[in-house]
Amino acid sequence: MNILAVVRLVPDLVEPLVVTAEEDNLNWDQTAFTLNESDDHAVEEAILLKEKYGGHVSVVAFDFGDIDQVLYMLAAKGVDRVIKISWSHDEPPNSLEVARTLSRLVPKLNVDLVVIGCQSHTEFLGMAGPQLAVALNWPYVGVVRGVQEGGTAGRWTAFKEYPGAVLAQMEVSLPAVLGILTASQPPRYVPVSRIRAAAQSVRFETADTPAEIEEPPVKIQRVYLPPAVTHAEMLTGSEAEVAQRLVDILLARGVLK
Amino acid sequence: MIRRIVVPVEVYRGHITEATREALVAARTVGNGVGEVVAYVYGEPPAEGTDVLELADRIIVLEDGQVGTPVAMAQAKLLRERIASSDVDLVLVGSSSWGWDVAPLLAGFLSAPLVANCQVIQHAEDVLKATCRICAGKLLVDVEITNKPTVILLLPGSYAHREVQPGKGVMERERVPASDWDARVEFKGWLEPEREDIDITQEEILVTVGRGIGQQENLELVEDLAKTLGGAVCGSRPVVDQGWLPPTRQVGKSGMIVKPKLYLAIGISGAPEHVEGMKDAELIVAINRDEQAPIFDVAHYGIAADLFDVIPALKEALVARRQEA
Repeated sequence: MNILAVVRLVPDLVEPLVVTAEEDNLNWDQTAFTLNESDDHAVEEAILLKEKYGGHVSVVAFDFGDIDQVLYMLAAKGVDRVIKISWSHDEPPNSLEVARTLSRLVPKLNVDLVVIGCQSHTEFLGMAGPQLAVALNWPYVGVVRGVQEGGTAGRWTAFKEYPGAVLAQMEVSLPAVLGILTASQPPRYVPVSRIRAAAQSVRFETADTPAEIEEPPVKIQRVYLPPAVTHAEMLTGSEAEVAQRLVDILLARGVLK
Repeated sequence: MIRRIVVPVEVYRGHITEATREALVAARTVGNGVGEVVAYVYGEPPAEGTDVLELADRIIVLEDGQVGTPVAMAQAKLLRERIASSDVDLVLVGSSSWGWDVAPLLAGFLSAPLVANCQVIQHAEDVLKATCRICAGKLLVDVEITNKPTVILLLPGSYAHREVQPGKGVMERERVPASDWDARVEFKGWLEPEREDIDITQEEILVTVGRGIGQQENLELVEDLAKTLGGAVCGSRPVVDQGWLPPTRQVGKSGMIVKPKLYLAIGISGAPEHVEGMKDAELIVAINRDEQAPIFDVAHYGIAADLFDVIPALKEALVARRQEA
């Protein structure tokens, strides 16, 4: 089983988002990036599958921002092969670019399964996973919370999440693309010493991407922060004062007896 | 002019979903009585709750042995030719686990643009615009849509409370050849979650933690507060995804929908997906150090401060109150 996991950097929402003066995009110079959470889970699921059933896990990422640090960390977790796609633009690739580039790369890699986060919080014009599946003409299941071997006729089983923690058991023929929401287990922790060791030993393979950026299929008119519409009555003062005020409110509303 | 809007109908375990109703309401709103609203139903419509389909002008029931099983890829593929050959301007898909697969797949099959996380669609002077809310609700993007068809995946709650006129509600039936069904994905059944001792949908007081809690060890602080309040602890998706709380404790559109007397949101930003699961709570109090956090838009009371300062003070005030009583 050869698994390819796709990882992307996304704006870190813990930090404030800054928009350009022209309001046409995020100000990428002032944006902190982090590994897309569901991609992190996709890698974890790939490693779990390898540990359980054997096989080989490759990770592919665009060469943007501090991706090397992320790739060292993933190598330390147990990824076998790391592929970096060249990327010389100031902004990260959009979903269509990711799908377009990977649809050219994946057929060269002898892959049985592609796993990718089923969402990224900047995706709104396209979604990379399903659109990659369509480009490859491979089956796709998204919003997946765990994968296992053991379907009928050599298929694999993906567990698709529905409301109320209900799972739909979906059997999928390989090769396939799966959009991972969460792995069967939370992403593992790796100590810094192992990441440093991986940084010394891991060798990146490289792949090219088309030179031109794929233009979004709709016209972006304005990018902006939502107007501050706070409907809440804000409680202010010292911690003790706001706590006391809240207790009084809870009493008045009959929540506390 | 909008000529035709298609809405794929999701039936989840015997009922048409709220996400589909929202998509039909959006279609009627955007179509403004001129554009025809066509609903595609996969398999025989459920016995009850089908009045929502009357929001469509035409209801096309696709019939075949497997067509009603929830396999988004095969179901999206069935619409490819039907949409490509019938002057469709927009495809509107409700936000759900199923919709998150159907919308991008259908866009891919049609080589059409996908506009996701859409909270408003405006159609004026033959120009179609949409506003998308991304980055967990912290960023808005206005786009102009020129391509027809375009697939739009709605944000949950966007059209939940709009009043619209019903459509013509004419039902047609179409038999789907078995060879049209993509059998590479097969639905095998539903798996129910393991039930815990606590059902958060029945709790009157919920203390909910989000990403702001930082690490699992800090949950103890929140559990202690919940115990003092006589409530239960639940969480937003990031907390559940980390394995700090079981999936049955997740509040949100894809988790549990809760309506407690008190919803105390701690370190929660207020992403639309989460808000859909708790907005109907009787009293919502939010604690978040980010004054701009969207959760303050839905909360009745807000405290813009560090949760690690506020929680101990709140517990102290609660204990003092109990001793006085």
